[in-house]
Amino acid sequence: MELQIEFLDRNLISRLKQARELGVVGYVVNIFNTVINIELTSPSLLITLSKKDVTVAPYMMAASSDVAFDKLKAKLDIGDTFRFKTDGEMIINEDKVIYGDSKLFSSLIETVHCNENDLQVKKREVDNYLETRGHYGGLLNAYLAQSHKEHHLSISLSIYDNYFQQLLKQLRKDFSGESLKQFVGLGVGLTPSGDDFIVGLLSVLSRYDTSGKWLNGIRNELKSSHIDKKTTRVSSYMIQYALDGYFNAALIELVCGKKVESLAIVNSIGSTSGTDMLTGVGFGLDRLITSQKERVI
Amino acid sequence: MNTRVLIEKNAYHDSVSLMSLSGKVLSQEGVHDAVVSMATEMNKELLNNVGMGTEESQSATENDLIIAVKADSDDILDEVFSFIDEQLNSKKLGKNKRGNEAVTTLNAALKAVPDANLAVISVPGEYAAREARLALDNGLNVMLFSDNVSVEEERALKEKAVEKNLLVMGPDCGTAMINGKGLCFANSVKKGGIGLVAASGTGLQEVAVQIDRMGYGITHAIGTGGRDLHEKIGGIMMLEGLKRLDEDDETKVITLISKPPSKSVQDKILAEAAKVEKPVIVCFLDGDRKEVEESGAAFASNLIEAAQLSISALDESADVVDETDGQLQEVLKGEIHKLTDTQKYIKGLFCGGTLTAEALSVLRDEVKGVKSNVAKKEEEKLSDTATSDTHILLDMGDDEFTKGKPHPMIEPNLRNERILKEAENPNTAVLLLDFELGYGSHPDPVGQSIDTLVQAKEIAEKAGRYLPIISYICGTSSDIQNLKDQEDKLDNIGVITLDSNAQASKAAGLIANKEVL
Repeated sequence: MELQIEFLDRNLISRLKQARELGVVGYVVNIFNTVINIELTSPSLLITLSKKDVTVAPYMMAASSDVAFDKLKAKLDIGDTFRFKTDGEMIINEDKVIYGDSKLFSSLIETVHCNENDLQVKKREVDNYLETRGHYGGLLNAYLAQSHKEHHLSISLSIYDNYFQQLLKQLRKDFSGESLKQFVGLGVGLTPSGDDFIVGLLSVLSRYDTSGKWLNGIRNELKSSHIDKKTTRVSSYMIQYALDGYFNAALIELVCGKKVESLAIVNSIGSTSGTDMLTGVGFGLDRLITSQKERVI
Repeated sequence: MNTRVLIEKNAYHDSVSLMSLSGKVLSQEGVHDAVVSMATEMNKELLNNVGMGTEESQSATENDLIIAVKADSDDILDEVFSFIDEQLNSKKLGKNKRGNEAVTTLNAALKAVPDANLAVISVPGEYAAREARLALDNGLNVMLFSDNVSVEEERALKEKAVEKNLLVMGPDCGTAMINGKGLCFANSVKKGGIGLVAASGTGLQEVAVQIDRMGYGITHAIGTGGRDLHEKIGGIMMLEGLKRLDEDDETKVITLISKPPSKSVQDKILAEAAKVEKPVIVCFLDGDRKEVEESGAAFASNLIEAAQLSISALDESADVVDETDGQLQEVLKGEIHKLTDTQKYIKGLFCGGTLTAEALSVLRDEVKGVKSNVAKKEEEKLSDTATSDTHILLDMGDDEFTKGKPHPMIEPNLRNERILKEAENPNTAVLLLDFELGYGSHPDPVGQSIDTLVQAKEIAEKAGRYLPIISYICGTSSDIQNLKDQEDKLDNIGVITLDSNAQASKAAGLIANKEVL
């Protein structure tokens, strides 16, 4: 059978070409309801094959037919091998994934300048949204407690709440990759809460840290060795992609666009992942605002 | 206290399921703490720091799932881990606990159960219509739990069903009771002489439950799916259900239940109801009394009245008068007395869509400015469900809240979060809640929210306010969750439980208006 890809991350094109030239294969490492993850070891890459309605993410290929996706998924096992024989095709056993004519999307966030006033407005929107619609279980309690002194620590506290409060306090004092290392792998979920926080934070820095003061520092200090094996495979790639400036479509739309529903779309990711990303966005905006104020002074 | 750890190597469970599992484990009696997380370095370190780390958890790697539970005894841990095993692995097992073999196609199912006459279908919407067609082609009635089936497909399925003298209950049909058997979400209800046809899940449940509570019973309760009375469907299954119950010797009274249908569909249904010799009760919420009565049917303005009129039609001697008694008045007075000036609004947070609609129907004449996410009238529509500066009635089972997440009848976390947010709000005069018992619902619906309700009252108290909470439990004394236990749990923490959704809604209105009859 053939699975047609409707759209894919434009960054994949060169990577897959490279994989083909090196004779590298990909291995199926995860089979979930709506996504299949395929890992390449060289270059180190996690490709996500997904159904149509999944939030578009870096290095993702979205199928044009959910029925065909399900048929392929039913045939696959962990460890099955994908080969890259020709341009625009991946082969697994007797089945093909065809992407030669697919539409391309970009998962890269471009940097722009934003004045303090606009940053304040965005921060208020994010915080108001989190207060009324954020999901507890991840960083929300700790984030609201450190940013809103009157906040009641609602819902039974999880064992992570105290840790996250301490880590956020430390991050406020020392905003650096060193402090962020403690977040890696911490919390619930296939992408632990701390990782989602980091990704949200990096998205807003990628967009507005025009001087690179914060982003470059974090990139220098938070290396793959601090991420690999410290968290789940899926999350490890998610952070690495974020450090390189690549994010899921929901976050891109939130930080780059003006749609009111963007907050809801991010918030709906996973169980607490979306909320945790938003806490990272809020924290990052706060950092940028403080930074702008310090420049003025 | 003992701790036990389970490691699942290379675990493949989505976050929503893991979060739901964590909540369920924590709510088990005797469990003090439960951690369900991936075995990352930081998570393992944290487990050690809280004294729940073990050798097994230390040796797990980052793509493994750790489930660590601290409980009063090994016996409790045995029960909890047996429960966890069931939750995580029920989909993988070839046989379920009844020893029935799981199959993967309809044809295989037909071979396994050749005498089956009903298919219950719950697959993603894009496949549901095809499976329903196959089932009809094979002579099976269909209960279609799935939604996201197009209007055109729904119509085609129902027309085909009528040609073949079969029923299609759905799409988006979650409740039915046929020949004493509950399908999907259903209560345990006495057998009797009243037949129901409902384009409304919790509407069907409430009428059936009230009939049971008054000592009577039902023959069948046929669900049609929420869209059956839409213009483009034309009430096909409600008409078919009406016809079937008319032909059924055991059914002496027929009751039709829906949110407001379109005018042309209502006319069609009333025209058919007029031909039926058996008594017909029509409960179309916010419907037109005059038009219904002109057809010869009895008009019920709400669900409890539908139950009462059905019983009266069945048994003229039945005493079904419903009055708010003097004791309740005293209780309500006591609640009102403690409210502050800032507390003005009802915050109704529901699991059932029709119960939300009924509350709206009751409360629009009692309080000013009530809004809901199930409202049809423009002035009552809630554009933003986070709004909390007026009387609000939220159906938290609506798609907005349940996309990718379990329904609040199964997993109450989302509603619990909202309960606490409304408790923090100084303008909240009263919380109005429903709980649903029966097959398919959580084994302990009230228990899942008890801690939250206690916390809600504490939050208000710390802020110098008193928070009344009014509830209704839609269930019978035969339901597996034990209605009395559920009522006692609420009573023990000062939550007032009333005997019908309509009565609970009215009581909430009295509290918010700070008046008693």
